[in-house]
Amino acid sequence: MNDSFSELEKELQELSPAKPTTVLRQQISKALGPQGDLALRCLPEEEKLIPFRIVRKWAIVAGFIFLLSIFGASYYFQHQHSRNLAETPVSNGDSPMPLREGPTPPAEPFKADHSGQALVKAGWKPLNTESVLIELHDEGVIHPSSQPPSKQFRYRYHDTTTFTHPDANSEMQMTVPREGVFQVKLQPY
Amino acid sequence: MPDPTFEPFWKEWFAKHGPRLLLFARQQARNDYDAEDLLQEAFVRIWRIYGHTGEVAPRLVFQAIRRLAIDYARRDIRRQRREEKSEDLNDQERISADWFEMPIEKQERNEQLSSAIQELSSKHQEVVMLKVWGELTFDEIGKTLGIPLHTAASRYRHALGNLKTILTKQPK
Repeated sequence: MNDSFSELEKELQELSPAKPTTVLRQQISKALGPQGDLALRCLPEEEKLIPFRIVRKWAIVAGFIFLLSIFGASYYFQHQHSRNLAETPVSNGDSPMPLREGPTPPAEPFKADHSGQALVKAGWKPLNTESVLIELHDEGVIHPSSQPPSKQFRYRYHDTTTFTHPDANSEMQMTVPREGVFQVKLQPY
Repeated sequence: MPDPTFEPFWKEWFAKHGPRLLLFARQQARNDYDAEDLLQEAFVRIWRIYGHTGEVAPRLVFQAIRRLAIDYARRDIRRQRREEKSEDLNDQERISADWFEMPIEKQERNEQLSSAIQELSSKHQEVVMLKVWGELTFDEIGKTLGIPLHTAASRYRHALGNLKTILTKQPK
């Protein structure tokens, strides 16, 4: 509104509308009946009733935060679980499967097979060898002839050897499966 | 027996908003009797629906007053009811039908303004009532009167212009 109107508006706002009569208030009270007493006020002046819209707004915000925390928690646990799985030896094969029971596997030093020897002859030098236990199978009690019964375990490994060629400045890996059988002799009572 | 330490919330609400609602009802009604009837009926209807929440938007009562005023104008039976009820009411209080409070120090100017407002057209009056004393936005005024927002704003501007013209014509 322009300035001339704002002065008039200000003057109008200073006019106070006439108050309703006490008779009108009594009539309204009578017309409302007991329903008028549904919302009662007994609070001190400084305390105000919380308007319903504010309660509703905060309830929506609280609900949203609750849902967000549920999603966050589920994401976290899912992520944690997959990380735990990734760290288990079975999944990445970095270390051999731990033996829970049974005898220690036979310590057999790696011997290069014919192919490995061929590589050595061709100038490749074995750098390191890593044996990974792939499977341990308990084959139960066996009864070899002329020998006491024994319990037999079968070990399956993957032996990975890294070769290096100094002249060509290159590396090569060779993986060879290996199987070992170990027997524990049983002492009958 | 009601507890004296508790007071119905509507009384405080009505003390705050009652004067502006009555002013609007007076503008909408044909006379002061109908205005009070309009206000009573509109307020009771709205409070019965929303009163339990303790928070009622005055705009709802303004809207109800206007709709009822249209109904009253259509149905003349209201006149008969008013005549029946008027016999029981205190006539002394009924006489004071000024739209505004008239304090002595400002009585003359207030009378001029009040008279100028009553000279405005009904459409201009209602927009001024809702804007100045109803403290509604143009959007709310539009919804209350069932007109577009821009029309409400334009009417208000024209009403102030007319009011200014009327006031300049009045003898000082």
